[in-house]
Amino acid sequence: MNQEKLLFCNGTASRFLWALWLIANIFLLSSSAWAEGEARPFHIGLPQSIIQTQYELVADWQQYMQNKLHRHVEFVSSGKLNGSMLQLHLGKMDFAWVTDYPKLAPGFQVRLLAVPLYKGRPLFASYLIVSSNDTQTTSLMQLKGKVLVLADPNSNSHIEQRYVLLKAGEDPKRFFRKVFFTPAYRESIEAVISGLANAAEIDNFVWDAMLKDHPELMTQTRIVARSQEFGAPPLVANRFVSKEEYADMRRVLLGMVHDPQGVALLKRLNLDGFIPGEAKLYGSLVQMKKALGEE
Amino acid sequence: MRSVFDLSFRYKLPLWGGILIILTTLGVAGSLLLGTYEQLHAELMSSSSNLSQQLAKALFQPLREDDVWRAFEIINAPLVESNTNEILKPCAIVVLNNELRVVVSTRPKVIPMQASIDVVTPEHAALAKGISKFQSESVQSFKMQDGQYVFVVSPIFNDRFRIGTVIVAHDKDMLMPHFLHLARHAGLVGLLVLAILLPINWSWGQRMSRPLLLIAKRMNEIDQGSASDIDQKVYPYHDELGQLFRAYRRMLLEQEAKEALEQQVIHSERLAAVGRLAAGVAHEINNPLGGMLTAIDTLKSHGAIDARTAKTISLIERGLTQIKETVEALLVESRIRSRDLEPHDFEDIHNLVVPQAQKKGIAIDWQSSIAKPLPLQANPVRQLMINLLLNAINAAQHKGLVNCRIDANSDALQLSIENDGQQLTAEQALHLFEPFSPLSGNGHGLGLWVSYQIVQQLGGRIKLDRPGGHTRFSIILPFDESAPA
Repeated sequence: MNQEKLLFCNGTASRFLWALWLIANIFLLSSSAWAEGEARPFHIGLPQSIIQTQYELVADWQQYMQNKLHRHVEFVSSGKLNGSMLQLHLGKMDFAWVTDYPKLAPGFQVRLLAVPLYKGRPLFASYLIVSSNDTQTTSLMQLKGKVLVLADPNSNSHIEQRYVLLKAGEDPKRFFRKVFFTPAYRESIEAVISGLANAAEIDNFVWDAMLKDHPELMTQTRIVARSQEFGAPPLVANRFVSKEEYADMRRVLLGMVHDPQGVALLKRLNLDGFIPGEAKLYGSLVQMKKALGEE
Repeated sequence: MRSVFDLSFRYKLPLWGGILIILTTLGVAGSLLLGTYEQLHAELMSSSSNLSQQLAKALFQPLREDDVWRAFEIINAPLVESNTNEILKPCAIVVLNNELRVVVSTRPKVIPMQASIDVVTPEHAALAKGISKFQSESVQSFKMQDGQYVFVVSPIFNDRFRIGTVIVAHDKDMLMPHFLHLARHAGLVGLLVLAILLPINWSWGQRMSRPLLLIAKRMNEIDQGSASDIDQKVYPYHDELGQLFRAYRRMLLEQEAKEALEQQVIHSERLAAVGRLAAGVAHEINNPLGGMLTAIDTLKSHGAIDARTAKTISLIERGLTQIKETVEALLVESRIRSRDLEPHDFEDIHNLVVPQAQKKGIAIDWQSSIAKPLPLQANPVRQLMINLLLNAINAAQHKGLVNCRIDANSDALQLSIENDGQQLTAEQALHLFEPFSPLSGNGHGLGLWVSYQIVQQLGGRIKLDRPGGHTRFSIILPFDESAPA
């Protein structure tokens, strides 16, 4: 948290350094092969639900980033079980789009890089859905002893649900008979439709996108409960990323909205753009995580 | 049942043939169907066992990692694959952990996650018992009595570490629609075969039974005494039926010959009886007659008789003489041996009859090949020939023709006397040789009877036939063996 504050205080310095880097870059373009050879490649972590399902989008975005950053960019999976925060901690990534931010445990020191905008706001909500054949269920509490499916084990998407259960005096770890995971949200929805799971927790932007692309699937499910809005899963930078690299990365992300190619990519990502974001966006998540004793 | 065996061959042959054809068709179709069903079932079991083994291999890692979704995708794939034969597709696949609880199933609504398999249905409870008993590392199939499914069970293990069990369930009735489809197909082909074979069988049966029926009908007719011959073309083959036809024809001929013989015997016996009667009567009359004639002779030569008595005696004498002539005609005596027949006897006979013929303007065609004496009594033969020739001349048309042929071979004399006179009716021919024949226009009607008696006494045969509108008597007289030639 301290580092993040520091980051905002040192905005001027970083801009200066970024300008320096730009000059150096222009100078080096004359011998680009050498220049590209010199620049350190970026390893950027993406949620598994994107990297393992939207290969073409990931490839296009990777190409876009390489073109803008003038260096090699590699998108890597944040890992199924450990979560991207741990991957960052282990130093395997320079940047990552994380779904479990913020981590409260002391070691996980990252800097907030950019927050995605959905419908113009840096917020997301999560929906609890059931099969449309299930006409009985009207609240989370009725799902005791049932099967829940989630797309990302580490995501904040289901944190409020656990919090609600805790408040109601239930043990969130035993409330459901079984909780299992699918690689992507679409499969979670299919699991609910097939009856494999009784309910699923789906992010609102995924729901909206599915509603547009696969209306036939969506008519077979219905929303039981909507969570409050939280800060959207942000992109963060690892602690060892230099200020120049950090600034460069943020410039490209924030600049996507001003660039036709970037706009096209954002549209495919179902986003309106990226903003620098603030830590206080995640205040309610921090509160709930503390209550749940999760770090 | 008996009435079925009593049916006519016309129905029985096609009926038995038809039953055989139907049974054969049913048997062949049934065994083919059964074979196909067995094959289908074996294919199902082998495909299912392969599938369960593949699934068990693929499921180890997801189960190890508790990746329910991956496991679901693995077991769901065989059910949604479109290139699999629909019949071989399982109806459900269930993955169990070592505690026999459901890890995941393709029918989560019926077999939910974490449920104990025993509580799903009684059938599954029985299956659970089977699985807990069965601990080998191979595939095993279970079929519960009265159950709805066939289960193929494969353990999920790696390096002897067992982590669970995969159950591939097939609907027991799954094969039934396919089987019914096959059965319908087989039934149609069977009907087609029957439609071809049954008419052929019917026509064959009719063909086979027709000659049989014909022969049976003719046999019945024999019983009723109105048999008729069967055309040989009706059944010209040499099999048993053909033999039967020939036997029938033979029997018919024998029957006819027998009847003719019987007729002849009856006729001969009648003639013989009449002959005996006539001879007996003649003898009885002859003896007193001789006495009476002698008495009259004596009376005429010795007594002085008045004119009236003389007239009466003369009347009696004429009467008695007439009786004597008649009786002598009846008494055919040939037993007394006279001389042998010589060629000039025939010339005599010819000379004797020619004047009679000339009176009617009849030509006599006389052909004799006799050149030496024959061992036959001359008198009876002369009498016989004269009788027959005079008869022939009598019967011949005015200015007609009489034919006489005389031949001899080594042991018999053959005579043939023919005229072109009016034809005899069958009734007339039957009573031809009887005494006092009504055919005789003049005379006492004993001519042919006497001829017949002579032939009989000489041991020969006389026969009447009618070639080409003529009347012909053929006589065969065997030579007398005892006589010197």
